Amino acid sequence: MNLLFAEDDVLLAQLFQLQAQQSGYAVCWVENGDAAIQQALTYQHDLILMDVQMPILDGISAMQLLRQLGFDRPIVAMSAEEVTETGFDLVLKKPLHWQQVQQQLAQFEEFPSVALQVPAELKEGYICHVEQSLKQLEQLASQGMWSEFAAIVHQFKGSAGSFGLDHISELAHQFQTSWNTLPTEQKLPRATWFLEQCKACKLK
Amino acid sequence: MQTKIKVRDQKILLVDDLDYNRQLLRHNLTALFSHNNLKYRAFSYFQAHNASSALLTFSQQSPDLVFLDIELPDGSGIDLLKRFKQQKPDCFVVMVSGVSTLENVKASIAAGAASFIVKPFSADKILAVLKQFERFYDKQIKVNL
Repeated sequence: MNLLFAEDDVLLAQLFQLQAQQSGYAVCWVENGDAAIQQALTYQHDLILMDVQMPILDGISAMQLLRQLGFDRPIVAMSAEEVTETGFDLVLKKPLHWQQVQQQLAQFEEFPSVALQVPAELKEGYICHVEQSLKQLEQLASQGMWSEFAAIVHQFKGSAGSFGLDHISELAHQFQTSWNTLPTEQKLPRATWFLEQCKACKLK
Repeated sequence: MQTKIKVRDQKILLVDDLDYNRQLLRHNLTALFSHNNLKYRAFSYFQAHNASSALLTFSQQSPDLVFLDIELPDGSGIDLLKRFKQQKPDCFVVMVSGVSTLENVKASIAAGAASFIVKPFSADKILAVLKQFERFYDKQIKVNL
């Protein structure tokens, strides 16, 4: 079973990860409610354990936003205080005792995963599109047309992973995280590095 | 075996500037509808590659389900969502974005989005949304009976 563990207390999170992993659970740890929403929406986790008091976005708000988006997987609150808000499937009283947690987790089931179908001809077509876009990016970089450059990289980030080009998607993600704060004189070397890394990826 | 309920063909509008994304989504929607015990299986698909084309198609076809990319070349998907909801308040709109920032998620909910898919696509994400749509559509049928 894949667990998403949202908790800002590092030591508690490490202890939980250790105990859960020893019992055969896979654990993804996030430190705040915002990151919990982003992870939850990947639908890779069977259950969320949500601390109520967290920075950036608290656990109750995160749960409420997810429920407003129709998120229907179990969300379990963890709190030393009483939790009265509706939307949680269960409330675990802190401090957590692993054996009790494990007993409670036993009532939840795994969600069978379904594979995305990518028809071969569609993937081939997309790879040609990426190859053409890389040529276009070279031209844009040589002309210093950075907003157009960034728009194509943004498209890579969103689409490449869907077609199995995870490396390109990850490179695009890394590019985006630093690009907007980069001084102008560093844009060309950064863009050149990005293009070199993309070309080094095996597309086919 | 689940009973298939034939109400009428539902209309699905796919809005994304990249043709490959629309094709991939359509292919997987069809596959998921066929193989995952979903009740509703008859659909007509419509596609749009930008905001203006999406608005036109929406007005003409009045779709039941929309997959709407937030970042479109000629406008914001959030603005488009607001216009869709004005025209057809009971339309089930799924926002699609490569960026699931809190800002994007909150703005989508405030504008009336029913769900949110973070790119890259996965079958699990799409299936979760289809199950939500099924529950939503069931309720609508009961209300309209």
